[in-house]
Amino acid sequence: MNSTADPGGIRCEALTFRYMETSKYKVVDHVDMAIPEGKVTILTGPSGCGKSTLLYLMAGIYPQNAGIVDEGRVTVNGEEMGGLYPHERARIAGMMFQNPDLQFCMDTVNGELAFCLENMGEDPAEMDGKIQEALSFCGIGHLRDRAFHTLSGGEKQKVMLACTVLIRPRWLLLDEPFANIDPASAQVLVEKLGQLHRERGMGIVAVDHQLAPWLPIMDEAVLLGEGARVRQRGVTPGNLPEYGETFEEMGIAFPGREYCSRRENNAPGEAVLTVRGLCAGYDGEKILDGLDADFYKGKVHAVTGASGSGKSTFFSILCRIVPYEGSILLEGEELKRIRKKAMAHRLGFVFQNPQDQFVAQSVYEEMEVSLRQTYEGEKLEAKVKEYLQETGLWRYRRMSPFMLSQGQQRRLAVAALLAYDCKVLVCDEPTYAQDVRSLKSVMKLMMDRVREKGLTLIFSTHDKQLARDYADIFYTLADGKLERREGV
Amino acid sequence: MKSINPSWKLIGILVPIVILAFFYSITLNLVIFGASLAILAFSKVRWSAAAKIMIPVAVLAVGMYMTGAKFHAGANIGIGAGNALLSDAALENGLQLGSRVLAFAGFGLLFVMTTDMMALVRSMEQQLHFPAKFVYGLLAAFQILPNMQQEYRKTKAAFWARGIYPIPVSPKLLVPLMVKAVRWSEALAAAMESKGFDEKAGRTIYHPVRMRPVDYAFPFLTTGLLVLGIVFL
Amino acid sequence: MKTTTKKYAWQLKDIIMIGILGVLFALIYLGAFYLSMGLQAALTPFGLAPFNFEIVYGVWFMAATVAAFIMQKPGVAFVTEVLAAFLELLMGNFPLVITTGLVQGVGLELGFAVFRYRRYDMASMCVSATFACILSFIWTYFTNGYATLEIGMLVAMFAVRLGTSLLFAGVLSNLLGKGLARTGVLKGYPVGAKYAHQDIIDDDEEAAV
Ligand SMILES: Nc1ncnc2c1ncn2[C@@H]1O[C@H](COP(=O)(O)OP(=O)(O)OP(=O)(O)O)[C@@H](O)[C@H]1O
Ligand SMILES: Nc1ncnc2c1ncn2[C@@H]1O[C@H](COP(=O)(O)OP(=O)(O)OP(=O)(O)O)[C@@H](O)[C@H]1O
Ligand SMILES: [Mg+2]
Ligand SMILES: [Mg+2]
Repeated sequence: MNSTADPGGIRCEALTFRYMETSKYKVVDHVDMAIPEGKVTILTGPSGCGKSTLLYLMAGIYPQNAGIVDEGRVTVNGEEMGGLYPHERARIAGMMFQNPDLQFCMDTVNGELAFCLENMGEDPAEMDGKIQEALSFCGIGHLRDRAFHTLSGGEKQKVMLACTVLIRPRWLLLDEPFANIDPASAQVLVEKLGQLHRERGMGIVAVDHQLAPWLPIMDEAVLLGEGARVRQRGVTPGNLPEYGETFEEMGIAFPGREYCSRRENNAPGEAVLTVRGLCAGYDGEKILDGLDADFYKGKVHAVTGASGSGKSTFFSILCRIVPYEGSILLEGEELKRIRKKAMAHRLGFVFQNPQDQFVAQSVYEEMEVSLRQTYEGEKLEAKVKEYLQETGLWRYRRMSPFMLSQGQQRRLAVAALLAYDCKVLVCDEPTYAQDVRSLKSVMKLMMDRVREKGLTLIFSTHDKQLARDYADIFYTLADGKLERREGV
Repeated sequence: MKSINPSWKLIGILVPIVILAFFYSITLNLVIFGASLAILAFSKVRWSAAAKIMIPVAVLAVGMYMTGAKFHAGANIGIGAGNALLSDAALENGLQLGSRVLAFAGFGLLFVMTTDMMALVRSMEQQLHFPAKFVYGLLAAFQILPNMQQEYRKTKAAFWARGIYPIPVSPKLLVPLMVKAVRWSEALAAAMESKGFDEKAGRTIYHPVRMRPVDYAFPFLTTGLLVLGIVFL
Repeated sequence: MKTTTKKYAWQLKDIIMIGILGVLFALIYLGAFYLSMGLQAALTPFGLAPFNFEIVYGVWFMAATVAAFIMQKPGVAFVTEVLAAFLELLMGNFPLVITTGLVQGVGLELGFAVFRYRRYDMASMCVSATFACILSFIWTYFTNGYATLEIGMLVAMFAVRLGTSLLFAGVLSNLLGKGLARTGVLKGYPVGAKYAHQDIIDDDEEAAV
């Protein structure tokens, strides 16, 4: 596989890629980059700059499945990935994706791992042993017979890692693998990845907005700009402090730096939302068990908790998607009993996945739908423009919301909900997969509302720094209950 | 029943069903239904689950009975006119249609209650040689099922939260769901292929399903019995 | 740039997609069916119970016509309908659905075949729905023993089924397909490029627009 003419590693040469034949927009634009064999490289850069796309090109998923390479090529260990069969590709580069829910085709952990081994043509007699070995390597031996729908996001990512352990690719490509899981699980995963890297010489290329979790094992960070072109190479854990300004200028999170100075808001407020003895779960299994909490008018509430602790479940209950027992009083009225049309302008929400949110055909219309309630005519147009410019989406206004990158979608979802006035806003992880600039602009939009209109904001996050910098009241979800903390 | 190879069991039940579609015999229908229940009784199935399936079937059977009785060929009555329910011909015709529902349901129960669906899919790959791509593609899609209902509710809630109240089958609601279908399929396919799934490569099989003579014999047995039934009943 | 897959080959993502569409429409069908259960209770005494599923019958065909619209190649309608039937089976439906799926699949496929697989629009989708309706009606005629029913009743049932087939699998499916294409997620398929546009408008260009 490693011919002498080609020195191995991942190389992009003048790589240029568009998603659509009909569009002039080059998402990856003349990218030249070489990543030496067996290194741990993190690609980072502003949201929407084409990082994920570049990674998918390296993996050979594009242009095989969509899009056109206009120029140039990408090779991994001397092979052009797009020209190989999947089972050949898998041995060269494995992938781990952002959404832990969409990576498995079998119903149980054991089945999925066996599926990997079958694909590799392993001897059935040895499979059980290998599966056990891979599971204990990842520290999840106890999950072997569990069904996927009973696993948390972090656990699913560990299973994905176990698959990689079985397939033994030369490279592992990861697209924001920690975006949906808690820092503790992320740390365990990084340790295991480091071990694979050391013991097997596996190369790692990860796309991530946060460098912090990678610092223990990272060889180099590459900062990408517009068109996924390289802006800065050679950033290492050692010389990181030198690049503080570059990070700032590009709007990328610098490990350990705070987002904004803490605001003080100690005025006591009245409770808008009172939760008492809340119980809920799926298929008879309790996720929330006797949860009590109060949320106050004009305050910012942060909810943290391990992945799988039930944050999204709690929020789904507030959005009336999941049934509950116990009582939830919204301004004194039982949530269950409020008629759907009477809910308008009272409680808005942003889902964990922004794609669940879109109601219109284009970015422009998406904003317009919300603003039409309060404005019309030219005023409406001006407002739409203002919101879209604020979130850096104005240039994408003609596109369908589904064509935006992860981070762009998230910004649009938050902005659209904010534009539709409501008293309480529930946001499930409003800032994951965002660069710092967008993170700040999203948070600013929300904080302005809190200040000006007394919006009650409830958000969940895995980012402790974010909670610390923006919230007035901290809750942690554990064992089915919300516990109020003095700080994070 | 539970131990019979799922694919051959499926064949052994489909063939009689197709044959049965072309014959009319109340006795035969009822005998099939009774026999199916009797076999089930020996197969250690969960009766509560079976009962749940039977409720809509019963409703359907009664519905078909009424239809058959009211609108039998030759009755020549318009909708709502007269009451011919009591005539022999009407009664027989009603039973005819109603008992058919039961016969088909009997076969259905027999299969559904004794078959593990995962095993069925596996054996379709191994015994019937369905292309692996279809088998695993189907499995992957099937894993999505538990989420679907909630996704629908989510989408609806997203509209409500913006002051829009679409009707249940409105394209407004369905298009976002279809978008997810496409997105999910791409993500799942990418994940499966990055795990090396490829039907052109020599896949091995974790737990091969072994075939016994009784498995091969099953379709012949059921079909034979049905033919006997048709001839003698 | 070389592409390794032939245009006509089935890709894994196609199969998963039609599978998920199958699941989606099966659930919509079920939902509609349960909603109309109440109706059935009202119809039974009049002997009109079968109309209960006749009025939602067209939903059955939607997965197939939508999938055909998306992929626009021979065999899609048939395969989708059969896969959808298999999914039904996995979901706990009776084996009879397989045969029903086969029969309907043939009908759906015929609709596009008569246009030599060149047209994927409202017209061809309606024709496809019509064929599926006819074949499936013949099939139910045998399975449900309709031979014993009065002819007027049969005509009425057929008319209702045809109506809903056209409405759901023809008209609504077409709208859904176009709506989906406009979102841009079909970028991997030829229709995607026809309906979706991915263009960035920078403000200096805006003056020209
Ligand atoms: N599936 C898609 N279909 C069409 N266009 C897309 C798709 N995914 C991304 N794009 C476009 O390509 C551009 C780059 O997207 P990409 O997802 O690669 O960005 P990214 O750097 O990973 O951003 P983020 O950090 O927000 O995930 C975006 O502006 C988006 O408009
Ligand atoms: N639709 C569902 N059906 C069954 N179980 C579910 C469903 N959704 C979530 N669960 C389970 O409920 C538990 C809580 O999930 P939830 O998504 O609320 O966690 P979370 O705290 O939001 O996690 P994360 O930080 O990863 O977003 C998990 O164990 C999950 O597997
Ligand atoms: Mg990305
Ligand atoms: Mg969550």
